[in-house]
Amino acid sequence: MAGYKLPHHKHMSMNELKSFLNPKDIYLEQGDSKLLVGDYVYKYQTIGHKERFNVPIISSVSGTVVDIKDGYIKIKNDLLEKTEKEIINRDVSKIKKEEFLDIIEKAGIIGMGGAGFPTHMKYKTDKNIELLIVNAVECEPYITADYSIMNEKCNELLEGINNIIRINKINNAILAIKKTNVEVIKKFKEIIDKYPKIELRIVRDIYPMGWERTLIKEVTKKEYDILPIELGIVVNNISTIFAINNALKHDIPLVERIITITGENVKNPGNVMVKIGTSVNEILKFMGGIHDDSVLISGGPMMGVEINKTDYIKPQMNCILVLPKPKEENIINCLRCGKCVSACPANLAPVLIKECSNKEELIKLQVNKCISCGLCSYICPSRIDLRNIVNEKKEVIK
Amino acid sequence: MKAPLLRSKNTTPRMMLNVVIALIPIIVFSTYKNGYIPYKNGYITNMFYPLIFILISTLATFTFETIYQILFTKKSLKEIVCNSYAFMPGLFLGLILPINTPISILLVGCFASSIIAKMLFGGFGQNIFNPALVGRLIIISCYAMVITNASGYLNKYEVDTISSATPLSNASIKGTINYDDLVTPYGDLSDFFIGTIPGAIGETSALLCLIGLIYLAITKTIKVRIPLYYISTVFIMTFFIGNCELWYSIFAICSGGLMFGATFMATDPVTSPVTKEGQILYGLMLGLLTVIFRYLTPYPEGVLTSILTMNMLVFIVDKIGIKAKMDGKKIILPIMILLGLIILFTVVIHLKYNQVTEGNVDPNYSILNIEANGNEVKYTVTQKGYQSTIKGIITIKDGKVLDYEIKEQGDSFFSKVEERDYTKYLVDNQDKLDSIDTVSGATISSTAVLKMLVNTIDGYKNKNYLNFDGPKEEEKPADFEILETNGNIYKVKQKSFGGDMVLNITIIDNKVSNIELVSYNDTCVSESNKNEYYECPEYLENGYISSLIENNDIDTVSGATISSSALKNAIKNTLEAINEG
Amino acid sequence: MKKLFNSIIKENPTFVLLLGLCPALAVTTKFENAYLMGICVLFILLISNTIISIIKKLIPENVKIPCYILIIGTTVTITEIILKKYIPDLYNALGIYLPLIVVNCIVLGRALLVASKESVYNTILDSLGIGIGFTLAISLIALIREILGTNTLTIMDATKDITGYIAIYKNILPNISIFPIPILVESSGAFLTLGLLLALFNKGGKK
Repeated sequence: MAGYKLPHHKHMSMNELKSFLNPKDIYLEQGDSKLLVGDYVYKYQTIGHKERFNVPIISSVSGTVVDIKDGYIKIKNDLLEKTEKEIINRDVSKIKKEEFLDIIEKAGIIGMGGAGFPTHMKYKTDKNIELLIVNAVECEPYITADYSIMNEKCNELLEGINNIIRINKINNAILAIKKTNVEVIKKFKEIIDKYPKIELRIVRDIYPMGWERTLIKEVTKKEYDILPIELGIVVNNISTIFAINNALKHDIPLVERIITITGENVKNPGNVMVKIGTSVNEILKFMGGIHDDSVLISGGPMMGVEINKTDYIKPQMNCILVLPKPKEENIINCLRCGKCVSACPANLAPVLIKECSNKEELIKLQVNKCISCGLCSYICPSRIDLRNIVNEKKEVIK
Repeated sequence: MKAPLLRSKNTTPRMMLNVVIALIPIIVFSTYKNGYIPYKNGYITNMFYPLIFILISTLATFTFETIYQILFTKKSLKEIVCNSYAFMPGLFLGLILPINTPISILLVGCFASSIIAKMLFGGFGQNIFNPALVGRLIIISCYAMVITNASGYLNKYEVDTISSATPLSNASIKGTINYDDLVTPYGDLSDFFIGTIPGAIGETSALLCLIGLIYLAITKTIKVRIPLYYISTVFIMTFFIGNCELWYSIFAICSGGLMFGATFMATDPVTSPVTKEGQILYGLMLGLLTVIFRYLTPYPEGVLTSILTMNMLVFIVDKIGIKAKMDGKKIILPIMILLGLIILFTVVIHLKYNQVTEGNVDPNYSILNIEANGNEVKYTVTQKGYQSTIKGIITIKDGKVLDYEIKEQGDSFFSKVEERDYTKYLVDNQDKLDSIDTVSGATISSTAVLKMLVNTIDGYKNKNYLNFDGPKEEEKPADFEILETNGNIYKVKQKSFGGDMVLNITIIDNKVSNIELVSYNDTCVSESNKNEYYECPEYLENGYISSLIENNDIDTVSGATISSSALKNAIKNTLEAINEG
Repeated sequence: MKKLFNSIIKENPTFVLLLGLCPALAVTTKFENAYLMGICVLFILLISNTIISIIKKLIPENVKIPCYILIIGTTVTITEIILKKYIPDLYNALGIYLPLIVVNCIVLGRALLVASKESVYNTILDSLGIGIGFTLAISLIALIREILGTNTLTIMDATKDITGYIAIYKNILPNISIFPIPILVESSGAFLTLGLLLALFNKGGKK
């Protein structure tokens, strides 16, 4: 399948995992919350629901609400970590599927690889799930959050996968890792024999291998139309598996995650365990600060979105990238070299889409299949911003 | 959403630089072959002439395009100079022209390349046709004779030592597949590969083009599939055409500028397809068209014509390519059709070229009569022309052609050949028959006239007048028939352009005294304006018939049309028939 | 007056409206043929459009086009007969393109667009303008084609029986190797000239 090998830039953040678990304040989305300024909030308390998919909003610290504006609730951390209930220890072997769906829905677990789709909706199906693919590929450059969690907690992760496939009566699971992660592969190979239903699959180092379609085609050689469940396959990110396991065992909702803070303009790059809702400013200061004239990106350099210091960490944010501001590049006319066509993983032709403005022609060129992976803009020698142009053409079809 | 912040290291300036780097060995070699070697042997005075030529063409296109952009577009000067790569068409144009092109014609070609083929279509990235090839095409169609008169493709050293035409025109005149005919006049196969053969300035060296192709493929600058499929198709087709002889395929690839065209001209990014499957189709089709143009048509420059034709069809190829990209099976049908055509044409050309049975004799040529009187030999020969058989009489004495006369022909545009006084031209230039040009507008007829002379001279050199069997029975021309005889009035039927014309000819004392047109099927071509057509009787009545009657010697009556020739032939045939009894 | 200039430059039939290209490419091998053809078209336009404009109220709507063609055809035939008698060389040179004026887009198009709707005065002005524009346009094409293509310029040759003058100039261009350009005499050269003039005219107009 088409794709391209990108330079990694992963070594600068492959160091010991840090943790920053006592931020001064946290920010939560207001959603439909009825909290007012001055209310006290417990740790793990559900304070409301988001509009999108009704995902519960859960506080990661205990403290008082000090401000509500712009749709955000600011809670001052009292550093006491008070919870409403005691932490329990559940016997995972007794959980049934309905209970499983209920637990992970209430724990607010969403796809932590960047998509943010509520996980329980993937499992809530009448179809027989035959295969669980655990996506530990992490194909974007710079990001090492999944690597970090695999490095620390490989045993727990395999246990989590095993629990999930047992509860949902899934036949087997495949753990997909990129072939350049040599140490992690060694660690897994030592202990994976204990779990006969989990297979370790090593995939090629091509961007975007982490995309669902590419991964499923690489692992099973099959293609699906709209959703992977048509083939009986469920794909989950490995950090999501860790969060599910925590929720199943101890009823701990999704309030913490590992995030990579990296980039040429960060003084001490690395991975850090943070609480959801920590402000970007605080975490950057914790990592040593940043240089002037930088641009902040949430996500990787290919598909990330620009943020600024006043934003806060959301559950699906897996990296904060701090790069020097890009220089103005000379944009030349397209010379129809065809590199974008050979690189597109969705088998589209960005150069032809760019030249076309007719609605029927654009439908024939299947513009809607574009996943905005950014490879066309990456590879264009004339430095044309192809991804934005294709996104604009998508609007023409609507 | 901000654009991806990672960008690959490959940029357009670097790609253009790679192309220029790949061209540098070719420029150096061409200066050596066309400048240094003639200088060393004392033929020319300036050994850097090819380099100056290429520089002039590069600067000329650059200037034309910059001036056009300053006048008609709103870009800044810096943007124009840095971003539009105006010098590329000029660089290529300089390399594909013959060395003897006058500079003024070169400038016309540069104007055509930069303004007509590139700027008027919208500038860099918007042109449909390869600009350098358009410039070359304009130069060929307008000024071919001027360049040939200045000895065409051969530089001054080659004119004296090799003294033939370029390898491909030599091959098309000889019409055989024989190593000694095609390769030996220029050296051996290694000369073809290295490039010390006559040709355009930069097109001859297959070795350097191959090195350039490998370099450009490694740096991923060009679309490699196109030259790969192009050259393989030509190689395989000529392998089978040439009776499975390897030297013939190598000869075909190394001549005619095929390697240069495939590496640099066909892979021009703007004018070639973007999809992978499209490129495969493009390469296959280019190979097929080049072989067709080289073997089945008499026109020169097969590579140029095939690339320009496919440039027109790129958008269809891209449509097929996109459909095939989304659904892999859709590529099967076009490729099967193309492979079928390739096999078909290989078989057709193979059969056509191997009709020759004994002694490599042209099957379209036949000798009717040879009369040898001492040193002087008079040949009566025929050659198949465009629409009819041309009969001629050639007199050779002591190895030199004295006279060449066309007795009979029935081709539509033979008038152009006669206007040019082509037979006298051939006799005057009988040493240079290999590089002589044909009459434009009557190419096939004039080629036949040329071939008739060449075949006769070959036969003379082989002394075929010594063991000649005897005059062949000249078949009664079915073109002519006497229908009725009524005393002195003969009702005859003669074949003319559109059909048969029936005449009543009155002959008294061996002279024509009256001609009456009974029926005809013609439209005629008038003398004064050859683009308009008239009905016959009005024209024929306007004094032509009366002049035929008045003149004793019919051949001196001018009239270069089919119908008038038919009229003449009718009278001549009637007189002959009477005299024979 | 302004309308006249409009028809000549801004709405030039050959270079802007792209009408009547068939004679524009075919008869422009000699300068004389071209301007005489232009004068014929002008004459025919004037007469037929004026007649149409005068009797436009009498023609029913559904037989409009056959009636116009009838009128135009009559005018063309009269012109043909006059030319054949008095200038037979020109008649031979124009050949088939003289009768083809009947279906020339300029004449029929202007009849439908202008003559059937506007007043007689406007019609006369419009026909004059279009006719002059056409004449100028094809004369320009013929000038370029003949001078650059055959190195001669024929101003009066076919009309020698009437006027008594012959004006043919030869060897106008300097004797360098690029002239004459033989391709301009053939049909491909006609298209090339027309195309380049079109580009020049429209670019110049827009700027």
